[in-house]
Amino acid sequence: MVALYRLSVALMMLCSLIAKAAELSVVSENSEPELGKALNAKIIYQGAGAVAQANLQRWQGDFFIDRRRLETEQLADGAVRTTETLRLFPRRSGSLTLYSLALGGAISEPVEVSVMPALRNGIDGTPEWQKLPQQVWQGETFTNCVHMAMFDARNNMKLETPDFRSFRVVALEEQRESSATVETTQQCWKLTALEAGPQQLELPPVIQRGRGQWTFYLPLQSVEVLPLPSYLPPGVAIGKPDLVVEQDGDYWRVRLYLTDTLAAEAYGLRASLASVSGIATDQVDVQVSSEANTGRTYQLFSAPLPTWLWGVGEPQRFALRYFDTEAGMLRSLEVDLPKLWRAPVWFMALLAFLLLLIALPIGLKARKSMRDWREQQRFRRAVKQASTAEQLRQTLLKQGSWKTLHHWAERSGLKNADRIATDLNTLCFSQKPLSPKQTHLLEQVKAALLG
Amino acid sequence: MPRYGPALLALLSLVGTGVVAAASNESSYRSAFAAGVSCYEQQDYLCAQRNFATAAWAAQSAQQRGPALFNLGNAHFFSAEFKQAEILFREAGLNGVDAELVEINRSFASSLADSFEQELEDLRKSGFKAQWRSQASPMPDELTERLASGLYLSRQLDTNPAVGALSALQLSNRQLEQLLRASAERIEARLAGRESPYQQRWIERQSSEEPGSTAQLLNRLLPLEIGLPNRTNPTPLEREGQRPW
Repeated sequence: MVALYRLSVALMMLCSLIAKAAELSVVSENSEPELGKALNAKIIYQGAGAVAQANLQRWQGDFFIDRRRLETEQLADGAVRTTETLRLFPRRSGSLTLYSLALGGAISEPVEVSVMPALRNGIDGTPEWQKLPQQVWQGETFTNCVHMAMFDARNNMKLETPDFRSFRVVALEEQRESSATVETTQQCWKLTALEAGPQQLELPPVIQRGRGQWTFYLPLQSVEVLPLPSYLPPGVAIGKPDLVVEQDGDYWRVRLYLTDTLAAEAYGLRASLASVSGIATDQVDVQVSSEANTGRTYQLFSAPLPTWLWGVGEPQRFALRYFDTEAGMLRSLEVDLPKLWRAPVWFMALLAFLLLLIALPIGLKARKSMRDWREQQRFRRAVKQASTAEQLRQTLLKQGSWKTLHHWAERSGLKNADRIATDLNTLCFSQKPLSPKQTHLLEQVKAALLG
Repeated sequence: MPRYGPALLALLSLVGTGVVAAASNESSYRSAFAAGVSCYEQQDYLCAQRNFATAAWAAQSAQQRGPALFNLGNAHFFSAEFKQAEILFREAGLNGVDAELVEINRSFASSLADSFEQELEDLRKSGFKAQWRSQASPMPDELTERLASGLYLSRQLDTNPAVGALSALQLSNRQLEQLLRASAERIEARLAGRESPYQQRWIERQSSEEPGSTAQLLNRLLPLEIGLPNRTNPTPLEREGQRPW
C-alpha cells in the first residue's frame, strides 16, 4: 500500500512536468472588435512535434471562423511551434468567449472578447433576421426576411440566396424603404421544408458596402420540420389552397393557387374533376407554373364540359383534399360548379321546333286579343268624347260598319242595346236643340255604353 | 321515348358514376382496414402501416378516419417511428377518437421521441468530449524517457495493473492528477484509520439476454405501459448476475 502511495505521488509530479511540456494559447488581436468586422486571432501550439488543426466547434455558435493559414516552425531548443491564423466574425454583439481548446496534449485558456455593435451616426446597421417558426410541416412554405438599416444612403446590401440543404428557397424581390432618418433594405424568401427533423439554418454573409464594408454573419436559427402523416400521398396540397372554377367556352377551368413552391400537380383534383365531368382522367389538361414575384404555385386544370347539364337542383360539387397545417389534419375543400344548362345541337333544334309549335298559336291568339283590346279602348274614348247624339250614333255605326242602329243593337250583345238605339235615334232626329232633359238622356246612353 | 334515350342514359351514367365511386371508396376503406388489423395482429407492422394508410385516405368521414389513424399510429410506434406516431395520434384525436386513449399513446410516443433526440444529442456531445479528451490527454514521448531515466519506474509501470488500467482510460493530465490525488487521500485516510468517503457501486457483469433492438425492447415495454396483453414475449425478463459484495 505504501508503495502504491509513493507511486501516486511520483505520478502527480510527472503530471505537472507533462503539463509544462506542451503549450497552447489563443491570441486575439483586439479584445473589443466591432460587429461586422473581422477579429484576427492566432492559435499557437508549442510542443515536441507538429499538430493538426484544432477543433473549433465550440466557437462556431458565436463566431464565423475563416481559417487562413497554418505555419510550423522549428525552434532553437528543438521544440516545434505551430501557428494557425484565423479571421473570426462575431455573430452578435456583447461579451463572447473563445472557449478553451485542446490540442496535442495541451489546453488553452479561454479568451473573453467584448463585441461592440455596428453603429454609425446613431444607426445600428446590424441585420435583423426574422425569427423562424418553431415548427413547420414538411412541404409547408413560409416567408422569411432579413432587413438591414444602411449607414449611408449610398450603401447597398449584398446577400446571396441561401442554399439550405433541406429547404427549397425562392428569393423574392429586394425592397428598399427610405425614411427621413434611415434607409432600410429588406430581402425575403419563400422557404419550403423538404426534409423532416430538426434543422439548423445559417444565412450566407450579409454584406453592407458602399462607404465602407461590413460583413455580418448572423446567429444560426433552428426549426423543427414535422413529418407529414404517412398516409398522405405525395402531391397533396399542403396548406389551404385557393380554388376558382369558371366556365370558359366548352371547358371547365379550375384555377388553383397553392401556397407552396414545389410546382407539383395537386393530388386528387384531376380525378375529382374527371369524375364530375364524366370523363377519363387523362382528358383533363393540367398546366403548372410558379409565380416568380410571389413564390406561389399556379395550376390550371381544364376539362371539357359534359354533354348534358341541366342547371337545376343541387349544384355539382367537387372536392380537393389538403393538409391543414394549422390544425395538423386532413381537410377537404369543396367547390360548387356553376349551374349550367347544356345539351347537344340536335336536342336544341328539336326543342326550338317544339317551342315554336307551342308559341305560334299562342302568339296569334295574343295578337288578336291585343287588337280587340285596342279597338275597345278606341271605342270607349270616342264614346266619351262624343258631345252630340249624332257623333255618338256615328261612333256606334262605325264600330261594326252597321247601316242602322237597330243592326248594331242586334249584334252588340248589350242587354239594353235596343233601348239605347231607340233613345239615340230619338235624340238624333228630334229636329230641335236638345233640352236639358234630353242632354241628361244622352249622358245616360253614354254611361250605358261605357258599362 | 326513344328520342330522350341518350339524354336519360347520360343522366343515369352520371348518377351511377357517383354512386359507384362512393360505394367503391367505402369498400376500399373496409377491406384495407380489415387487412391492416390482420397484419397488426400478426405483428407485421409494415404491412399494417400500408393498409391503415390506405384506409385513412379512403375514409369518407372523420368517424372512419379516426380509428384508421389511431391504428396507423400504433403501427408506426411499434416500428420505433415515434414522431410519426405522435402526429398520427394527435390527428386521430382531432377525428373523434377517445381523447384519453389518444393522450396515453401520444404522450408515450412523444416522450420516447424526445428521449431519442436527447440520446442523439448526448452522443454528439460525447463524441465532442471524446475528441477533446484525445487531444488533451496523449502522453508525449518524453514521458517514457523521464520515467526511465529520472524516476526509474518503467518496470513497475509495465507490470502494475492499476497503471495499465489508467493508461487505457486515456485520461487527460489534469484528470489523471485529480484521480491520483483522490487516490492518495483515500490511502492516507485508510492508513490513518478514518472512514473512506468512497461508495462502491454495483455494476452488472453478466446478463442472460442480448440487449436486442430498440423496437424489440419497446414491444415489451408498450404493453406494460398501456395495459395491453403482452403478445410479443409472454415470458418475464430474467437477469442473472452476482453482486460483488
